[in-house]
Amino acid sequence: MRTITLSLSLCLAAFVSLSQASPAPAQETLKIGFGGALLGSLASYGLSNLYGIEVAIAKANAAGGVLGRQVELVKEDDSCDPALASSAATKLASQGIRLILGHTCSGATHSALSVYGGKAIVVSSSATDVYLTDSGDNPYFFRTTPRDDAQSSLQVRLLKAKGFTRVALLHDKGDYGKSLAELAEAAIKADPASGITVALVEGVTSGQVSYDAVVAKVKDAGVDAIIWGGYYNDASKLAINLRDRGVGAVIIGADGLYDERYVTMGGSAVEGSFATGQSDISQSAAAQEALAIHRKNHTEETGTYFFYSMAAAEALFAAVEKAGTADDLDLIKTHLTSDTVDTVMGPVRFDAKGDVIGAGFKLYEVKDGKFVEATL
Amino acid sequence: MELFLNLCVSGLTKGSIYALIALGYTMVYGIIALINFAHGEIYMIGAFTALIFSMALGALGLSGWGLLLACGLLAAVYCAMYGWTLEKIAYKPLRGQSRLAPLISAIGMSIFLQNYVQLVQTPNFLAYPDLIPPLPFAGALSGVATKSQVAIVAATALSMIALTLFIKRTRMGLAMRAVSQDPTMARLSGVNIDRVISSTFVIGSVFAAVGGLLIGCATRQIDSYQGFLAGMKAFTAAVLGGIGSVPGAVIGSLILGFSESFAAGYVSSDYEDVVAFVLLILILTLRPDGIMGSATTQKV
Amino acid sequence: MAQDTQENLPVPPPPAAGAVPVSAFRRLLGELRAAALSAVWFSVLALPLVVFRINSASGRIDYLWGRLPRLAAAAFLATLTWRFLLRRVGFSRVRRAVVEAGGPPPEGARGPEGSWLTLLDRAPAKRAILAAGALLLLSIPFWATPYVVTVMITALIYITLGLGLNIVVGVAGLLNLGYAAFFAVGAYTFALLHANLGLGFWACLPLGALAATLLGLLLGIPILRLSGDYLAIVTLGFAEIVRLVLVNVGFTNGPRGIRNIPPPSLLGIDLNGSVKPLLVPRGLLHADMDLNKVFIYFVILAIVALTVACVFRLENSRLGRAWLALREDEVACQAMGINRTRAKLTAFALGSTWAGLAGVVFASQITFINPQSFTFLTSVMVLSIVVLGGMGSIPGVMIGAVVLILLPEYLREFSDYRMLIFGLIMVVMMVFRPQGIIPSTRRVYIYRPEDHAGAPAGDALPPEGARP
Repeated sequence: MRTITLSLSLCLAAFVSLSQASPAPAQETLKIGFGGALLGSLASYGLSNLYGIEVAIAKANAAGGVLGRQVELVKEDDSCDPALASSAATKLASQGIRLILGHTCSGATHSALSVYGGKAIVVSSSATDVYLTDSGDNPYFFRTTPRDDAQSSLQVRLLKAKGFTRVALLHDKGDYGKSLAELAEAAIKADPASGITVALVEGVTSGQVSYDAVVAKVKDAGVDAIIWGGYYNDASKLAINLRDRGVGAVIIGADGLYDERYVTMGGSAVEGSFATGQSDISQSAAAQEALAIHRKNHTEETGTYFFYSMAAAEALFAAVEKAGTADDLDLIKTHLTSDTVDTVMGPVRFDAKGDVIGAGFKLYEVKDGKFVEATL
Repeated sequence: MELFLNLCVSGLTKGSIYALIALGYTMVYGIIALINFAHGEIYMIGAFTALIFSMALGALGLSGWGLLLACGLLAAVYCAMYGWTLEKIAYKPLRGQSRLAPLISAIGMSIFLQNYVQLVQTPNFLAYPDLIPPLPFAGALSGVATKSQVAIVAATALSMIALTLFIKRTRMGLAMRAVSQDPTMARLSGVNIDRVISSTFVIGSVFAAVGGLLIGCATRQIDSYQGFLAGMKAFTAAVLGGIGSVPGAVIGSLILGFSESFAAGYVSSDYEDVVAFVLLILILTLRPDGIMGSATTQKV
Repeated sequence: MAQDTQENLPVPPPPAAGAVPVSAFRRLLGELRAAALSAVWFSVLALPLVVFRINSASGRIDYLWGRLPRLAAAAFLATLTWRFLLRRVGFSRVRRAVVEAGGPPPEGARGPEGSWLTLLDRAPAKRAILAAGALLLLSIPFWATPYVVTVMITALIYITLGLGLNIVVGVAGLLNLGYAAFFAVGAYTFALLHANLGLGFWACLPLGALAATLLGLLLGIPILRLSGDYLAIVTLGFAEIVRLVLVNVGFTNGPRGIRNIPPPSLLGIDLNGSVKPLLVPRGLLHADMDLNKVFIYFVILAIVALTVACVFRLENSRLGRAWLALREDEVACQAMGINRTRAKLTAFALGSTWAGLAGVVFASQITFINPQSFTFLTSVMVLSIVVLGGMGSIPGVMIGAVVLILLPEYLREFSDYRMLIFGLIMVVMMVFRPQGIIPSTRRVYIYRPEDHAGAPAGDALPPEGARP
């Protein structure tokens, strides 16, 4: 019993200290929250978000800050888990932060948005689920990534242009990947005149030791093309498995595939793959500058969402600057939706639902170990 | 017919991979009746160390079979060291405690090791080189199986034979069998239990290292979380076969590999794991001690 | 299981009476040598992973020798502390064994009588602390930040889960590695019934519990013949099947999950609209607090109270005794005429009920659920709560849940190191307190003549922890 009472009192003491842990918001710096996967198996994507945001903040601070205040980033990990996202979001909101960049995954974003309620502007750079904006539940939610359905229609146009008629839809059974596959299927079915048939819809378990069984099935189905719903890491594994078994079908992916690591990991097996993604701005002066800033601080690669995240931060900062306040959310929203901002991704503006307008969005092909722009 | 053949090859490969990892689970369980949850992480560390050494030695000009063997050896040594240390820190102080205490400390260790590798190395996926040199007889098999599949199945078969010989023919193997049958009696007969337990961890870790290296070469990528899923499947396979039994682990792994493969091929890949787990429940309902497990009659 | 403890105690050398300083010095030297050796060992061990770092951008290895001295120093200090603590723990275990065997406490050991901690054993102090705890729990929403309330709700949900699993694992001794499945069923019952039929929280709370109970019964049937780790693996497989069905079946919306799950309603009152303006100006509520969350907090607090009461009554019931007997020895328990089938099935079914309740509250708290929230890791987390807190002990499980849920939140300060430290703490806690934070106490009646001078016989309970 002594241990019980002792531990109980320790727990109570712990509580009191936990509740005192949040200091009063300081007025000197402008606090921006970031919620996303910094740990766990999806940390790779969350860190890519974080790197982009860090560069945008470094640039803003070097130019005198936002509203004359230095920007301070408060980052919280959610490991892409809806439950953790809920507590991470509450922690950010508890500190009086009204400007949020994130979250990384759609599921986590859903639950975080319910915490922010209407009390924070949230700009995500990787949550692609169509419901986030279409449902109309989240008036203060914006995103710089292209919507999943926009990518699907582009993929179907590619199929038609290349004359592919038998298609396999493969996905990674995750929220992002499965949505992509379902949207691609819907887009193909919506256009019966094209003569494209979906021969196969299969999922692979991400991280599984081999994808041979699905590969055997793809080989058996004799398809011309594979539409891949998921990220680059599983796709490169799949591509190697496919080529090893002598399957030549062309892999077509979305923005989760458009990552230079797809090519470094897949090597010759991914040659000829297609991906939809943001327009290639890596040669522009702004992008080069951003990459230089990033390399000064990190040895890691920038990752899939680096430029999207940087653009999200830049768009948010510009809107706050123009609104002249960090507290009037409606005013900031007006500026986000009405003004076009020059970001690292080019001119960016949001529509009334919160989807991005103007971020270039193109088709790429892997040629000679590089993603190059492809024409239909 | 071709689909059937391909699915067989795929099932065999998958089963072999599970078997390499399952051996570690089943050996440790046979000796100290502990589910070594962190074993999947040892496999992951094996893949990482092999990659690191291949890059370091590759820069020194080593290549081909020499590079593969050197990496495999170094990875095995390091995994053995990790396995040994793991046992000393997380399990040895808990010997004689209730069976769940070491299980939780194993889970803690697994979380620790995942995050340790993620912190000191990278949270990103890393490309893995294909270290396996062209096999001389691969041409004959080209339509049926790939080079890495042949390598994995061959390595598993060799490991199995080596392990069986070790257990049957050496003094340490004899000691292991003794400890697994009756620890108290073995100790009274002069068996150094600490040494037996340590060697079990070391041997299990060596197999995990081989598995890590070969699977890295086959999938051509690694990350710090890859040990979790593979570990869970291998553990399932080990129990299915009758945990504590070495041939049981292999049979269980093959059953799991084949059932996943055929379920994906003929039912739907969405349900491959469902079919595998339903089969597991069915088999265990019919044979409550696993396929090769001996039914223990409890006497009161 | 329990009786092995004494046989395999790591017996440290007894402290030499009147030890001369030379031997103390020698011992210190020995410790330092061991720590230095371990520093060398860990440096070698860490060489490829810590020092040789793969630079994925350049495709080469960066040799970070600068990390090595820090690592060695950390290993050195950690080994010293580790060995010191292990010695102490071993010593106190020996002392307890000696005391239990009826002998006098060994020299140099501070007996429980000498400790200020005994003050806490007195009934008024105990009552005061418990009352303060209850008061604090009830008052949290009125002075704490929304963050604290959110974390507390999660902790309370896990207390409910822990208490439920405690019935299965701690009391009945059936290792369940698939508890998340029942949690998921509760959450999905609410989400689906709300989305399709528009049912509210209060209608779904019993339905979720019922669905989980039925699933528990369903799982109970194939596992009747199984024991030990075979049982564990079947529960694991079962949970995976449930999760995969949730991912693949159409009506659950697959991995994209179900959104807009409502909070519980309080007689249809719009809490944030009408009640909040009354409380905030008086300083009774944080301005950003969502009153729906506060209500969920009180709901889950009430559920925890109900759970504690039920589990306590269950444990001391005929059924509870049957479970305990089942845990200790299946064969003997059957021989004593206990219906093993019924005991196992009820343990599974009643254990699952609480997961269903917790699932409904969980769904309404985070408003969005997808199968990702109910993975194997969730089951493992709940199991860790039970074991770490102390199997079979109600206060233990409660403390375990608070520790394991609050810890990662505390460790947010360490950002990247959060989970690393969390894993390490799990290992350390198990090594130094393998029986859990608060082990369950078995009622033992000992006849002591001096107690019979005036007190009734029933009061002769030994101090806690007398028997593991």
